[in-house]
Amino acid sequence: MRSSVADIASGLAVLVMAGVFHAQSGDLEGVSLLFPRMLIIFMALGGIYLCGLGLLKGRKGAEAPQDDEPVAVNRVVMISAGAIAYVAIIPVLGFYLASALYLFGMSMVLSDAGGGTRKKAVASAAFTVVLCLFVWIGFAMLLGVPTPEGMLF
Amino acid sequence: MEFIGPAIGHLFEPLNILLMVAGLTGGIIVGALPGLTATMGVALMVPATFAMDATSGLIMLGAIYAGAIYGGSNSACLICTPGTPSSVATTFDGWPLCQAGRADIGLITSLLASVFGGIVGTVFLLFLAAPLARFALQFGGPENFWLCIFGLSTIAVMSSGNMVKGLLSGAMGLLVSTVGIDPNAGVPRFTFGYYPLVQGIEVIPAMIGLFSFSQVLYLIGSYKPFIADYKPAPGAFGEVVRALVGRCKVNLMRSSIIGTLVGMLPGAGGEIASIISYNEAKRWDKNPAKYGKGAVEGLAASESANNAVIGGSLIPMLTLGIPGSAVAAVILGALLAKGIQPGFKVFTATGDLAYTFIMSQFAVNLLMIPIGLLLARIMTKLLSIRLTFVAIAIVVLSVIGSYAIRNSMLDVWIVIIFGFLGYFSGRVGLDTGAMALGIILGPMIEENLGKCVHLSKASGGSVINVFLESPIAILLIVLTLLSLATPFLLDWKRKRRDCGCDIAQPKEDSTHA
Repeated sequence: MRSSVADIASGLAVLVMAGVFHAQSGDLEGVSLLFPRMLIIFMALGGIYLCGLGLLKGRKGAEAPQDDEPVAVNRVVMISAGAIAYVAIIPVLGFYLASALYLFGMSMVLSDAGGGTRKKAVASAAFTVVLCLFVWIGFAMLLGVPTPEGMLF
Repeated sequence: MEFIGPAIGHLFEPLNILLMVAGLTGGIIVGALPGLTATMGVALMVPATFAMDATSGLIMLGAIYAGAIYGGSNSACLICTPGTPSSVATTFDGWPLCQAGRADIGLITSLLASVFGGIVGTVFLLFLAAPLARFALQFGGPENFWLCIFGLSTIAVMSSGNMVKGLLSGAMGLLVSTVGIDPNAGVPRFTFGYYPLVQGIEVIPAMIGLFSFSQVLYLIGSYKPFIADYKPAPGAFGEVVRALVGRCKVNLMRSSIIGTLVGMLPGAGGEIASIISYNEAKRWDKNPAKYGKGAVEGLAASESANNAVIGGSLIPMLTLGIPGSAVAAVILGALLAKGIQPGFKVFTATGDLAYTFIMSQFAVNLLMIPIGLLLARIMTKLLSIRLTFVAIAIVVLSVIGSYAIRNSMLDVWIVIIFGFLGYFSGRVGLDTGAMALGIILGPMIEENLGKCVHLSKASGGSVINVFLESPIAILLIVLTLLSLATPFLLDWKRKRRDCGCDIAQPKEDSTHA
């Protein structure tokens, strides 16, 4: 990513965050508002500075693109979508079933080990069983850590 | 002295040795799992101590505490995920070392630095408990406020490459920490109409999201088959020992003393101590540019400080009955449940118990070397598992770890949201370390700022007077200013050096000519 684009993107992110918190601070007063207001003002100024800096760098146009590593965007999108779906279904299916589905599904989709579908399925199923057992024995049995319960299980 | 001989004798009882080994092993595993904290590990084992005599129970709880604080460094080095909040600064150099194929160096450095810090903290506990406890009582609102600001000034050193982005990242973290009930007026803030947010953003899920889930996204998108190349190097242990004994001894001692002093202060724990120590190590180093790129010195500073906190936090707990950390509070509860009243009398009326507990901390730290080495060797096997499987497993462990903190799905969603925030921040050059620092220090800064405002109103003076009235506060302000000025001073020094080289260059050329 070019540093001008990175500066503008980070400046906008900071401005959006400051704006959202400012919009939420309407009813606050006194000592409750003091600290957040100081931060919001600082962030607004900093965000404007970063956007301005990015625009200035972009206008000069002399900068070379930064030497970023290539990103497998499709894999990032898949694991992100998978994680959101996983967390969303936990309250319905319960932790263990949702985890088993997530582990098996994601390792099937993202596996880069090569081999046929059948080999992948066996490896994914083994991985799912081992990890679920590890979590159940380690967390639930030994440590007594509670796991989220679902409506169905 | 009359208690020390029998106390050492108690340590050689087979049951106590077994409890130390079991406590350490369990503690290291708990600490290494993101979301499971030292407090949780110790709290989970308190009921088990009811079946033991008070001495054995305390020995086991102390072993879990030490093991868990060290254990956090394992995941910090191997998967860039601080197992406990006090290992945040460990990721700065531990993870680059792992990526460079030197995970063993990172893990051994963390282990030995933790042992050193733990022993120094215990020495202070043994010999200087009373004067240090009195010193800790000098810390009120203004002193704690400036201590946190001093911790926050680390951002300036940490992000010296792009200080504006570093400072803004820190401000974002601080703003996030204001979500929930205001610590001064009790008013709910920034809940966005979603009632569960009144509880606030819990630090640990935010850390798991910023460091762990965002790391999963990085790793999955990296086309790498494994997290990092790793070939165990023969002689790594000796190499680390030479580095620590040679060039890190002052750093280790300074960081351990910082850890002990910070540990004594109620509310300030390993997370602040390790960050301040990291900052100081970088500031005093002749070559600060190596920090953040796998510097053994950075790891040594962070890990020795957070383990020295243990001894520090036990000082006010044993001498005054005021716990210096959440874990010390749990141990205090276990003491009270056994009918033991902390205070200066604990060293006379129940001296046998107090000194056995203190001496057990020496033994626990020494035992940590073989146990930690063995577990580190097992944990490095993680690096030979295909990255896809590790990444997916981290997501599941992050979910259960974050849920375990408050039994709330809100914390699980916080992991996901902060994971995306961390990933995006990394892509656009914002600093997740600074953001984490803001989230950790925010509540303490705001609470103490509020105390100072109330104090100034009560005294009818200005808040500036409150800030400047104590010598400790003034000392902390001076240290903060020095810390903020460090990047500029270093830059100035570098420019002067470069300038000197440029001037020297033509002379060399002319000589050749």
